[in-house]
Amino acid sequence: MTYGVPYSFVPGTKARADEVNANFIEVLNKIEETNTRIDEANTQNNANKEEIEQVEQNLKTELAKKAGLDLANLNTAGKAVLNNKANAADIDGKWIYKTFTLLGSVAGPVSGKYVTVSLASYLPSGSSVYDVILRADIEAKAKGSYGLYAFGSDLMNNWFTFGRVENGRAYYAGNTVRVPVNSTKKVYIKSNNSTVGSNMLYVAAIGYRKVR
Amino acid sequence: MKKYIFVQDGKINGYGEAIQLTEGVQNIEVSEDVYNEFIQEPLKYIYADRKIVENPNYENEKQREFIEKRLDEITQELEILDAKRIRAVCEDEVKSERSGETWLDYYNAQIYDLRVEYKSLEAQL
Repeated sequence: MTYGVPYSFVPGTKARADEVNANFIEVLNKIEETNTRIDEANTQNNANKEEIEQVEQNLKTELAKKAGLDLANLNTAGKAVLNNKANAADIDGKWIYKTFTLLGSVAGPVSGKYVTVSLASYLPSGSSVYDVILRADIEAKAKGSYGLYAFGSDLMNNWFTFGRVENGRAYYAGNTVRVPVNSTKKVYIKSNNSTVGSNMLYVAAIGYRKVR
Repeated sequence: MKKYIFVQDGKINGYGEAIQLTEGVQNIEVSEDVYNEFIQEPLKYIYADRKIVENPNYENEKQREFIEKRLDEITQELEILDAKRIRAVCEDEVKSERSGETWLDYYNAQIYDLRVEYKSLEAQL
């Protein structure tokens, strides 16, 4: 933008009052014009600010709605993100249902001993932790036999009790439990039974999934 | 999927698809046919010469198993009848007015038959 005044004065000549006044009026007009432009710009800025605030509000509302959505509504890109996270063990994997006989008609352990089984050929290779569903049945064979049975793994210090039998009272017991298994992929069974070969075990893995 | 028959202390001790890591247990890999047959008829196979082989004494052992199972059933039936006889002695009631047979007579007759069967089976062992 170029600014200028109507009259220019040369050194050594007289300045006429009406020409000087005309120059001042021109300057005042330019100032007024500039002020008007500033006011208009401020008005536009306020309008933009309101628009930005409205967009932010809409975004917050949409995010709140998304938080309550079922994951099934995710689009392909969203699913890909979740799958990548699952592969990186960030979230739990899908359940894989596959039956695998661990022990069939095997004499249960006596107190102080363990029956140890490897799930290496059942679970995928790698060092992930898996949640394994184990189904177990116990049969009390010998008279007077008694036994409380439990599963264990290298991942935990506790035991998961799955049944108690007593010949003459409870000949059979069955249960299904979930046991977390680590990279050793070993499952242990123990009991407080004192008679060798008195109780028979039937144990199968029926499913697993990778967990964090 | 591999199939195993487990051997412990020189004797077969069950089967499975997983390897047992129990101390003293051998995992002997067998064919699917042997594995399935073993599940149905455990007496059909034995452990000999570090292998799972057909049991040459299978028929006799199967008969023996049948007898032992029946003897066990008879024992349990006799125990139940003994409890019934105690009640029959205490209550002393007639079961059939026409024949005059008491409940005690009725249970005694059943016990007699079972004991005859028991002795007969026991002699075959």
